[in-house]
Amino acid sequence: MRFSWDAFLARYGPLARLIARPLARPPATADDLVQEALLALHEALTREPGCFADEEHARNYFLRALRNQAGKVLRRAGREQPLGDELAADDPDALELRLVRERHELVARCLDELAAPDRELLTRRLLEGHTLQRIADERGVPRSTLHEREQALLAHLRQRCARLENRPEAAR
Amino acid sequence: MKPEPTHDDALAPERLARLAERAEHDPSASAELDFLADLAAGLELTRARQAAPARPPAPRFLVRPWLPAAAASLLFLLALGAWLLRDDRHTDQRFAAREAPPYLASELRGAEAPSGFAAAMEPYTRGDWPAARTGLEACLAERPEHGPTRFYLAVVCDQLGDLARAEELYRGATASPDTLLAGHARLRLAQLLVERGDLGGARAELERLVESVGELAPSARALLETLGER
Repeated sequence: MRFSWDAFLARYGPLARLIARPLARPPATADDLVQEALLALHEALTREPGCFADEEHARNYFLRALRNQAGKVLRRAGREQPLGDELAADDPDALELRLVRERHELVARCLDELAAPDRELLTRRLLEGHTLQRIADERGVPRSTLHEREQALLAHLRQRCARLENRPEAAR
Repeated sequence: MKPEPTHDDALAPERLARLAERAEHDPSASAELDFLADLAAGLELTRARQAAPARPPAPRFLVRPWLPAAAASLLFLLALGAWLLRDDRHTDQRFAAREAPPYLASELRGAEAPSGFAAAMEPYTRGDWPAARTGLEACLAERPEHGPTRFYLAVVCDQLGDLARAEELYRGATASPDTLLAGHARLRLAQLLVERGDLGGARAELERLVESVGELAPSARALLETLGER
């Protein structure tokens, strides 16, 4: 499998940071964990360039390395301190990156169609890692109402993105 | 007290970590993980656009239509000249063997990092090694104990061919056992020592990596086997 680092990071970097955020313990930051997982993937690809059949396998390896690394950091923290809180069309890498970016443009278009409070809800949940309870308290609404809204938004976005990409689940 | 996420809190990071685990053998979980990854990236894009200052309208008639083409031609000629005059007596082969690892630049670097670290790593991501070196040397002077600064400065010196400085920095990075990058520093140090002809030193570093039984042990073992053939 040919591998595009830029495309891979553009696609999975934000999600990896979200997963890493609650797992990081000082002195390591969430970014340190993600970077370490990235180094592990880089090392695996350097050792055996064809070791991943497709991007999905590379993604699984990357996220597994992230979880393993977080486990190490947690164990170490437990011993040491209490837990605290553009592009040429004939370049395949560039093409891969362009496809990922196009997908993100499409998702961003769907997000732009949402009402500002809905977009803010998803931003706080997926980029800042805020809990539903915290947002519910701030907005003065029941957590269950917010949870239903979030589920409805995710279902809507799944269907909207699928329709724009002409995928079969759009018909459901 | 921070409430625990409930079982249906699909976006809780702990839940996403379990989804990533399930995605390894469950295609529907894999598709859901990709959807959420794209959603997170789309949200970052939207947020970045909202945060970007509005661009002033471009002044009209200021740039002649032929000017970009002329500038591009000039840049091409300069680049061609630089390429023809480059000194690559000992570079290409070694770079292929020990290229710089990619760096995920982000705003999340915490208070531990020196103040100029994020700015210093920008040229690194572009492969502008001299600029990255200047920035990282300043960072190291500010925070000598910051492991990532030492490691990436070593990588930069390595790329620039300053092997003595790279060796010193890699050794420094391996000496701090709590540094997440210590293993990678040791592996790269061993590769550098091979290049400098210190096969005994390289073996010693690789054996320590093999003994650590960490993720880098297979790479160290493979390199040890290669060294055994010399």
